Amino acid sequence: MTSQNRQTSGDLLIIENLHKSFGDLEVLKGVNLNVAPGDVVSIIGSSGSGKTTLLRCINLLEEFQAGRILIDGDEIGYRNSGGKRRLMSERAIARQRAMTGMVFQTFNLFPHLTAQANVTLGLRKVRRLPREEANEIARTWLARVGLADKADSYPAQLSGGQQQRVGIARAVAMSPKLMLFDEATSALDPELVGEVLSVIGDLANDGMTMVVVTHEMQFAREVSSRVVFMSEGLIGEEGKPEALFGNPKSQRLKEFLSRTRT
Amino acid sequence: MTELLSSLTEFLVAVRGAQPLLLSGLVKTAEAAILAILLGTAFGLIFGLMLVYGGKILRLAVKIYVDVARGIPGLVKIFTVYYLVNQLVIEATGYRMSAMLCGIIALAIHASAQIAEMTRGAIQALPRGQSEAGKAIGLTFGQIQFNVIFPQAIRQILPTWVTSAGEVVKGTTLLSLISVPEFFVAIKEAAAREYIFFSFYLFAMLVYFVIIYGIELFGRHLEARFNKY
Repeated sequence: MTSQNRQTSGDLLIIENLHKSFGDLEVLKGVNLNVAPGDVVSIIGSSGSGKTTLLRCINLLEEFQAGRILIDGDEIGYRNSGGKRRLMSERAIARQRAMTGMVFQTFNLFPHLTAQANVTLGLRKVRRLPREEANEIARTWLARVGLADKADSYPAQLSGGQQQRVGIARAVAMSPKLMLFDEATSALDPELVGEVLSVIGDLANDGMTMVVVTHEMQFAREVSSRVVFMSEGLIGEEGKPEALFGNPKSQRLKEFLSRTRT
Repeated sequence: MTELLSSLTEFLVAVRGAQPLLLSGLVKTAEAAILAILLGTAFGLIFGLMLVYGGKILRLAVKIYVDVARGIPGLVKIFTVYYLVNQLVIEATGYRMSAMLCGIIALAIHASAQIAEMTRGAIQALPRGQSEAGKAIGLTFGQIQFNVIFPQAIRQILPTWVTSAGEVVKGTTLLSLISVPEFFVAIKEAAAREYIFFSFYLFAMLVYFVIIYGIELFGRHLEARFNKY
């Protein structure tokens, strides 16, 4: 891969001074974050702290007003031409988005396609693989998430946990460099949370680089290599899970943890 | 009984005699309806997409078109195109559109406005997460429309599309007023020539019903195909 904007550093994801506003409301106020290959970074924080917005900026589901995001050395979404910051073309952005995989809180499976077709759509249309190869990859991944027998089911015929596992298969089947999880278990019934977390945990153990927005503190503690606490549009505190959970420094984090501890 | 039989025989003989006239009328009607439905559907989908994704000015322009087109009776549209638009075209290009073409355009305008509005509604009714999921796997805008949005929106669009197609067929009868020799004109001529009114009009009723009901069955067949999930 070559690009004018390519920069070499060890980190797979670099976020520099990211600013994002919705109208007058500034949601991200200069976020800096680096993620090394193989890192699993959990982002925690109360609602409204900007976690989800940060995640959505990484694959440009949200445009942002200032700052830079680099994935594997490529600057995401914007280029400088003649000293002006410009949004890239729709096609260029689509190509960049294929570098990341995203799992949504509400699954967002395509209801008119079977589980297998949900997974193959991107393989066929974006990676332009032949049908047989795409089907093969889809079946492999559906088996990995424990749904080999549900390949021909439509989303409406699946439980929430099964749907979310298809969502994960759909994202990882594209071989992204980076996986983004946006509160992937928040919409699930409590008894279905475990099956999804265990799939995400398996991916982490396989060395997949991941940024995980989550309310599952136990999961963040067990799976993450690093935990980031966001507060009011900024990163309040970050560190290894045992340090962050065991010895929180800021008052905000202490309060947040005491509220979420059960 | 024998009276009924003899009048039926008389009618069938009359239909046979008027066959070339009726057939050419039916062909005209079919031609006008099919072209108007195709044009109306194509432009309706394009206008519908503009209503959803267009910039402010484009959206406003299409909205005005849709509202005006829907707010004017069919017959007035036909006369407007035939007299007013045709005149403008003649002055601009020197080309005179045939009555048939004017009629098709007028019917297509009506259908396109209806279809644009239902396309807009159907697309906007889909959760935003659908196109976001498409974006997230790297699909382009066009790929998202064709693979994610349309296949879902079409379920909403089809029932109303069938109604619009039926309206177009009904609307073709109005084309007689700008002297397009469509099926209903042929029926009137045949009835007057043979001096058999009751049976000819009953026959016309039956033919129109069969066409429109046929469209509806076709629509239901399509709906069933898209309803498998």
